[in-house]
Amino acid sequence: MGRVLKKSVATALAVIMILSLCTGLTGCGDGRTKLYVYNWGEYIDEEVLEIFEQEYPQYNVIYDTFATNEEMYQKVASGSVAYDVLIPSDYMIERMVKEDFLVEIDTSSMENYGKIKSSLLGTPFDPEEKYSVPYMWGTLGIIYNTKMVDEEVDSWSVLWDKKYEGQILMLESVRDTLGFSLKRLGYSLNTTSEKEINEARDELIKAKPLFADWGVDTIKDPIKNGHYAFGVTWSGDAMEIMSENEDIAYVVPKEGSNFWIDAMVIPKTSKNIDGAKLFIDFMCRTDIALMNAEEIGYSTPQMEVLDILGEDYINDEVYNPPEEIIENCEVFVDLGEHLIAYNSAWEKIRLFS
Amino acid sequence: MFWNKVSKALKATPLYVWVIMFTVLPLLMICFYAFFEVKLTGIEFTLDYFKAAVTNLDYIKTMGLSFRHAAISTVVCLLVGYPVAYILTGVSERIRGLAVVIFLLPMWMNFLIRTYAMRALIEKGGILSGVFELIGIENGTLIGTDAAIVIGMVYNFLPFMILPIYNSLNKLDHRLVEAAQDLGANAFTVFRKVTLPLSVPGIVSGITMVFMPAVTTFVIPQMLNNKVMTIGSLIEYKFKQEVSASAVSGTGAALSMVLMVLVIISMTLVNKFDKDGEGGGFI
Repeated sequence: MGRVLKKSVATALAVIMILSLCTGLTGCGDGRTKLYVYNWGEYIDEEVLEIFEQEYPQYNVIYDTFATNEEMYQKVASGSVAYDVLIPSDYMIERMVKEDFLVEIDTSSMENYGKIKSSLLGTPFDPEEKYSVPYMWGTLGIIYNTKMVDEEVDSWSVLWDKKYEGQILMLESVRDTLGFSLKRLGYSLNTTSEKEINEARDELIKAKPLFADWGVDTIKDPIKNGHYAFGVTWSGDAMEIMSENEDIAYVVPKEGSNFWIDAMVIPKTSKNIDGAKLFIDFMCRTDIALMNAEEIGYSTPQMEVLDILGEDYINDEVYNPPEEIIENCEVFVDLGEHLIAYNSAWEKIRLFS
Repeated sequence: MFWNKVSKALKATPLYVWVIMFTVLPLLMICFYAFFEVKLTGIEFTLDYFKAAVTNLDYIKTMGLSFRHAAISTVVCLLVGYPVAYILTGVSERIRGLAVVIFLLPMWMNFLIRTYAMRALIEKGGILSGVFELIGIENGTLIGTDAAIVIGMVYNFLPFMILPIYNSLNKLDHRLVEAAQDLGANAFTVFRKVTLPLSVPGIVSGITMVFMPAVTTFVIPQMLNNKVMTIGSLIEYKFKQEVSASAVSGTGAALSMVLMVLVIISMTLVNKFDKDGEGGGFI
């Protein structure tokens, strides 16, 4: 009997200890309101979160990261955490708007909203600037080795040039890869016309024998090490590669390309919309945006930050593409069911035949 | 008595839970997604996914390609693995232990890291391109060739061929070999009539253990030659591509079932060979 008693007392104590541990972790009985922020991995200078908590001691930021838009969507939709601020990409924001998932943001009361580059506002995923505030942005283009390529590269067609057979590393990404093939033919990269999609598909099948390999991350190192002449990648990655090998150049071809924007939004799950707005405004503040821009290296939409970064960045067509390049580019829109046509075109391109 | 049985059953619970969670349930789910369409209005039986999986010429060709890669890799593994296993059984105990460790050593590493290492060896600027340069080929690489896939698979799966063969050779009753020699058989005849037939079970399980993962692997081809999709990559792509948030690819599920059936058929054929072989004159 004595042993049984001892055991149950021990069990009870253990349960109490575990419970108190739980409440200790989640309760935070210090009266601060929790602010749930959900962002891409390695996409912030985490120090800014501490600064936010110091300046607004009433808030306690709980910061989470995701790897893909789809992962973010699933988790937010499941409702397991009531997030206050999300930072997804353009087409995902559009989908969330369509599904009535986002809270309208009154930007007029935001101190720092006016500092954002105007060409990045009112884009197709949020034409009336009601739901999103841009965080970072970039373009898709060609990286090439100037030592191995004599001509001026300004067109996607260079990837169809037979003399570069075996010198090209192709990007493996359904929307991006089919997208530039569409742009090269003069179509929209958001087209829903099957005729246009199939034309772009057949062009890529024609060029396929020239490609030495396909990949996303695997194409970066071989280009950086000077083993291949051409690759297709995003401006942020291009900046990184160029900083390590000065022979590498990046160009957004004249036919146009994709430009993407990751922006801050407030989902309807938010229980603290004022805090979320405060956080978004804070992220747009010049000193904070500068910290983030310097930490992660992607293009900032903040004009004042760009001025502080200096001439080198302002005149860098990769980091800060001129207006005419941006105007020539398109943002991805959510294709809904039309994505099926892209997927089957992609299979035709990628499968053995 | 009753309690004895209960306690026995309880002890096996972890096993049951494991098998149900990781074998039975996933199989049932694949079956479900292959045959049923989940709609807002309810669940509907459909054969469309299967139709798509078996009538698409590109899918069939892709399957053929993967079976060819796997078959070549298995043959290479056998040609390399058998002599190695044979030699291993012949050497002295001390060297044998060391030799087995040497062959097993790569398996202590994660296979992803091994494949990365292989990529570094055969890509441009790697050791192999240095060798190519010696014979006059500038900037040579195997990345993007079928040979790269075969090399990657052989490198990863060779131990799975060596070990079963080594085991069956090791168990072989040496008196049979001596008897054959006493009866005047030369070394080649002894090998052909005694050693080889007795090691068939090892060969069969070696083939099974190499061929099955080789057909379905998608990481090795993606890292060494991503020019075309293999069947493993296709199934992965089918599951990853998404049209709406909750849509699970029925065609992907159907494809994996077709692949599973094909693998089971080929393995049954190989196993049949084993029984015939054990029965008598394996020549």
